[in-house]
Amino acid sequence: MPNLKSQKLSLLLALVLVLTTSGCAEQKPAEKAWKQYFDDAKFLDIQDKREEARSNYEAALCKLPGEKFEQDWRAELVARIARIDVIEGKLDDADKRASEAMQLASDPRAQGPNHGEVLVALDDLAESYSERSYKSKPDKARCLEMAIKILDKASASRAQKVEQRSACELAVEYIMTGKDAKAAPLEKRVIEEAIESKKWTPLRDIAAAYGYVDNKKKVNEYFEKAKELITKKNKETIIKSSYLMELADLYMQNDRLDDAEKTMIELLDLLKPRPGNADMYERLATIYGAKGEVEKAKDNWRLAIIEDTKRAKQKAMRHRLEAYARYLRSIKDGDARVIQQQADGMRDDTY
Amino acid sequence: MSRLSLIRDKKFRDHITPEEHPESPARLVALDNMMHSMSLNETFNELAPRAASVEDIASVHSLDYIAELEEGSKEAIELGRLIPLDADTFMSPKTFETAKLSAGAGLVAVEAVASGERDSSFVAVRPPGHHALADKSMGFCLFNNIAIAARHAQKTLNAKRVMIIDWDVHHGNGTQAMFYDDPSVMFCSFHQYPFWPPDSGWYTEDGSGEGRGYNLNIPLPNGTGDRGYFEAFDRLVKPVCHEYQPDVILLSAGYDAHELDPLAQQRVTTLGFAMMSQRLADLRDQTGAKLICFLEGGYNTQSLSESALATMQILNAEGAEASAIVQTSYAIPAASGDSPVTQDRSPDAVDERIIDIRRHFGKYWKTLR
Repeated sequence: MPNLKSQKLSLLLALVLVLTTSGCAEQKPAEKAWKQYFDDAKFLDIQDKREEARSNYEAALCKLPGEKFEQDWRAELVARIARIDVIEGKLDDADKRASEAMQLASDPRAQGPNHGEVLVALDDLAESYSERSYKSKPDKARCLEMAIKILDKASASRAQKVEQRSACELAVEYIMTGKDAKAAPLEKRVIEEAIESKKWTPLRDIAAAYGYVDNKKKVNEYFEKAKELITKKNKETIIKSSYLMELADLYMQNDRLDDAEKTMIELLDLLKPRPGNADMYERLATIYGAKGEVEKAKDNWRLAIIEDTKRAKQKAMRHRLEAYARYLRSIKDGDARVIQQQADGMRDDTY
Repeated sequence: MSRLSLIRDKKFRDHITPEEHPESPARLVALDNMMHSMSLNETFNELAPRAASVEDIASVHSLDYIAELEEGSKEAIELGRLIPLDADTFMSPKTFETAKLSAGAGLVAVEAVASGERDSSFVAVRPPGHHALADKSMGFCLFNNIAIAARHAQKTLNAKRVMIIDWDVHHGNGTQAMFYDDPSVMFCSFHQYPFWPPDSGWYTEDGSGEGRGYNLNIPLPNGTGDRGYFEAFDRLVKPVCHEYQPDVILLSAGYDAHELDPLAQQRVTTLGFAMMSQRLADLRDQTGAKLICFLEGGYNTQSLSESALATMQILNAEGAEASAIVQTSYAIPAASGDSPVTQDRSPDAVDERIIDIRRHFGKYWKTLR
């Protein structure tokens, strides 16, 4: 028969076991302080060890003391976990956390110590949404909307450049999907900010979106607005060529390859007398590659490389050769190895 | 009790430069005035400098060069005017003595952290030092204060590994040259590139012989801004520091990357420097290293004194809560809706550069792979 003392000890041990395996304690060894978890998490995050970073962030959140500055640290922690959610495509979780982080950051008690880092974390979060919008077509509008919301909250008036970029991307998305009413307020914002910052390229992007839906009247309106912001003599050519390139990209992204090819040929005709068309030839090569027209693709890759040799830019040529080698590998062409060797032979220390 | 010893002295104003020269005694006057106006005169453990001996200086400089500078000062006394050593660097009658005191201040700073009571020091001196070569003055610099201190730390603290971080906007070419083949001193420099000195500080300059991989240059494009500096610190310096595990961290604390500085275009704000200083304090606390900062450049007297004080206050704070309190004053503009740290996300060129550097140094440092 066990004695009473050992029974009490067993009960105590069981209680300790229950306590230490429930709730927050489940996620980490008990000895670390919240700041240590936080530091470790940030370090792991930098190294792209996301799951380990996440568990350390979560542990830090659990251990965060209810002190004067709690809201500040909490806002940063939640924003950083949300960023990992976005990168991993868990957008429902991310949206919830992003909203929480924004709410925490707006709390007057959170606006002081560590606030700089909170803003940085929110800015990183917005950037991750923005990157996600490129990677996942179905999530594009949703991610851009959230990116703008966060930047509006976090960046205040001086982040116009960043906001302008996201607002412009979202306007393009709406125009291309026929949601003109949603696009209108964003267009207004892009135009105002373009005039203020004297940057015309967002106007070109919106013109390209209207070109994509074949609204020539709107394209011309944006051309006229862009002209007002360019001081160089050959402004017509600058706008037209830049527009055609953007339009070709939109066609490419949406698998309208014949339209993309036609647009790029129009662009090359426009720029024919000028040197330095390497990027254009590469784009045309990519279009032919996507269409499965291998010989035409190879011809244009070679033309791009010849243009690079004229410019004598080692770094650009190395990147071009690497891209060509990648293409050749994708079609299992035996020349890929030779081209890759040529790329490897280029110097990489040129600025 | 304060964590930080401050070494400053009015004698550092005795090194005279021509009128309108950016590296003027007014820089230290502004710092003293700001400390006074913020009632910070009693905050730090203040120590007086002592002049470095020829033997100390000769740990990194040639004896001929030391003698040459001594002669320069004598000539300045005899002729009663400034003696130019190059287009930017001058000897005044008291320059030699001041330069020895400047180098000696670093020795005092090392000894202050060696005693164990305090783990950080700030050396508010001039002339600055990080461009000075073993046998040549350069870019306002005469003796390489930080290099002399690094050698002293190896002797006094028996430091096996010394890490020098240089966030002056110009490449610390002198410091690099002194430890280029020496793995016991790791050198990391953030600098605008291309800039001054010309063709100096590209990331492929990564050390030689046994020192290969221990010279980490971070050449940053014009207009990098706060966010770009944070990225470079977090993605390069921090992981390498954790892998290197230094016993001592020395900082070449130039503040000429500030947005108000007249000589450069990097657009770092005072809040940015405060947040960089916090990162440095975190490295100190996480690695257990001693930390000593050496004033280098910074030519707008207001931004220099504000930012240098931000560094001092943050390094002096004990614990997360205290450092948060210190940071409040720097974060207030951000909290009120004017957010300098996010005013422009760093240019794409910065991200690309950091990726290139990580790729290059991945062969030396596991943590960058």
